[in-house]
Amino acid sequence: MLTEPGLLPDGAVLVHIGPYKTGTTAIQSSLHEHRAELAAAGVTYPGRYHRQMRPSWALLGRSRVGEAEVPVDEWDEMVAEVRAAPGRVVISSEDFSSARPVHVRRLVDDLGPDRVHVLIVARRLDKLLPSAWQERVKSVNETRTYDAWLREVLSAEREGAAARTFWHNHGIATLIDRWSGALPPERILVLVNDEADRRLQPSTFERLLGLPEGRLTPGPHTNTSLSMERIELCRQVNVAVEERGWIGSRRLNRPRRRMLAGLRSAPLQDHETLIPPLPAWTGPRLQELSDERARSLEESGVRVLGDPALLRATGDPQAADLEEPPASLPVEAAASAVEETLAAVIGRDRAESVAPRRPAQPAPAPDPLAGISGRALVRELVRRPAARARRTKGIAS
Amino acid sequence: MTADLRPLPPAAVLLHLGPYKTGSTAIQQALFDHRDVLAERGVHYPESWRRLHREGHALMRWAPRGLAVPPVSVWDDFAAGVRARPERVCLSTEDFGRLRNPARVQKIVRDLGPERLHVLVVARAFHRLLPSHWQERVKSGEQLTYDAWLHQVFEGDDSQRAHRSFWTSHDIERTAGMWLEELPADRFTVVVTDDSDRLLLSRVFEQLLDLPAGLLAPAGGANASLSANAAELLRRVNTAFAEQGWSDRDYRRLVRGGVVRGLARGRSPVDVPLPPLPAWVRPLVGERSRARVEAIGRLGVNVVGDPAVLLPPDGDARPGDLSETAPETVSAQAAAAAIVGILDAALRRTPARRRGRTAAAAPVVTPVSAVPGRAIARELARRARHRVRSRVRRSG
Repeated sequence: MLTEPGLLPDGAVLVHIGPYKTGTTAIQSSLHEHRAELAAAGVTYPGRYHRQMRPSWALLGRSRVGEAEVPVDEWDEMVAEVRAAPGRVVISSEDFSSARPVHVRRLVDDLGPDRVHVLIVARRLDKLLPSAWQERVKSVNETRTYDAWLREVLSAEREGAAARTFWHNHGIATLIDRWSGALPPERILVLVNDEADRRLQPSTFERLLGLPEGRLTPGPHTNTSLSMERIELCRQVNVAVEERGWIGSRRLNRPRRRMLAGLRSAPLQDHETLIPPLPAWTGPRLQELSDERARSLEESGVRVLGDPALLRATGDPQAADLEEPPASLPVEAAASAVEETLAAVIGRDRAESVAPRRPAQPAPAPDPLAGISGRALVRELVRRPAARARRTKGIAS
Repeated sequence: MTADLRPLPPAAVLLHLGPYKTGSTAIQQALFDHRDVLAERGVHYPESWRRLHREGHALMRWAPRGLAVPPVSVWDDFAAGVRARPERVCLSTEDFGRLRNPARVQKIVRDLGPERLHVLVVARAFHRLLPSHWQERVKSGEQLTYDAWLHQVFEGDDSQRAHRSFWTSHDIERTAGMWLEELPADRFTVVVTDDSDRLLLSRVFEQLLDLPAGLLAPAGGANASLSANAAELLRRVNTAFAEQGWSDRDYRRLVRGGVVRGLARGRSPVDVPLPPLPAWVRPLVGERSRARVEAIGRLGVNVVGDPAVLLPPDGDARPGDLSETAPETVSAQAAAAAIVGILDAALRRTPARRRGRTAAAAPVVTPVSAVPGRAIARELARRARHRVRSRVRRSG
């Protein structure tokens, strides 16, 4: 069903689910920036932040690594705001793209089965893959090099965590399938991104929501890419974090965020490289997968905005193999990453030392080693490898 | 080295003054590691750390950034312990190499025993010393680039910190002059080195203390210099640190204990060693080196090695010399290690305040079987250290 984006019915709730790395930050920032104009045009963008991240996390039962889940109240509060809103509503969070069917069902039920329209943005694989890898290195402790990650994601088996996550969030057929369980096809919109047209997404939102053309000018936030040099720094930090068994530690969240802010703040140097084109070896597989994406969209029966043929990508058979990750980065960027990491640690320690005493905290566990003789401790240490060896043998036999 | 040295008298106290960046860490580590062999051979080496630390700071009424100055009794007790020992004693601290107060020198000599004390100081060729001295300063917060620092050292005066700090430790005439007020010249020894003989200093200690040859040979890697790239990264961090007005305590814990430690681990072949001397400073270094050789000749003290090695080689200024400009890149390996070093330092322990919270629930005792092996090993090491310290206190 190829259509032009027309005005959604009055009372529609447009749920933009990204997915990740399809230009979400830009459109969210623009919607947030133009809240007042949206309201004047009868369009509600709920909450106070640039996107509805916390409500989406509350729905999905998600949290920042090592932190408590966002209370479900925050979803309920947003639902109440949406239900009370006259006119049209738009909400946006790329985390909805990872929603499982049970969450999709609840979202639709809560926001209004007769009101919800979902908007999915489909992006060409060869544009999506580099951004997706980079985002993983920045956000989820990815330790694979670009080449290793590509090999896993593009493998025929689609096994391994990297492949499973990527296709769960980005498989077009999969996404349509998940939302079809709760919505009729005419209320599932897939926008085919045109990499050459920067106005495509804002103008689509304008037409769907009945905003004057050109109203959604860019907001202040963009999720800019880092150079390969700077991503490599993050990747090596990730490797160390993994080696130390720190994955899942809440105390890393702030330092990591600040480190990334530091890396972004130093200007790009001439000698830095941006993420390179996909290597030639990806070509045949890329073409196969892209064709599959275009075809599944054409055959899906949902509302398609734009030309699915734009999703077809042919690899460049002349493209160079990926080189080893860059060995160096600008010292200015490195220093600013170090400084921001220090700031995060020092700031946190200060905050903890001035925080008001929280009552009803359990006492620290007593030192389990106090009062145990050195000899007993040595015995305990000696016992362990033996015990391990016995266990391993048990499994093997 | 010219001839073998005769061992010091059996009850001598050998005090090694460094100064900084003349191979002292390596020799201290070797002495410390072999202190039981030393003991068997009738040489006492203090057991608290690889070098005098708090004891020396107590005497100097000074402490490194972020540490408190210990009470002077820490030194007095320590010196009394040294005096009570009948055997040879070897002490080492480069902090004493920067003493400028004659009263303190006098006190050291009197407290350790004027009749027993022998002082050893190393003169390392300036062209070798300068780069490594600068990077050591950077490890302690220096914000000047190498080039700017050299300008202060060679063209500035004592009102400038770089000038003062370098010449306080490396003006042999001033150092010797002060000690020779208290000691006869034959109990003051200068070892001259241009780094060509890596075993020189360990051999001198072996011979003076009558130890087996080769015992103290450096293991390598002790207090190795930063690369030029890592030093530049750290220098920028120092500048930011100062601008933020963060505390000395945080500097010690997170920069020295985090960034610097990390940089030592994150060595990468893509980073380059510290540059040689820029062309403009070479004549000035030559001049100071010639003056130093003459001064050593005038002092009339024991000299090990040929002072001529202190003179820089002529005209090796290379075209395209980059030593006046700071590196613009650093290896991802070094930078990542610096960041992970901070996280290591930060996550290792929880701020003390958090332990003071009021109890609500009954504390749960973890069974020892559930404690990670590393925690047990740490606890055993802590107890061992504690035992050593109590022993030292008792013996002092």
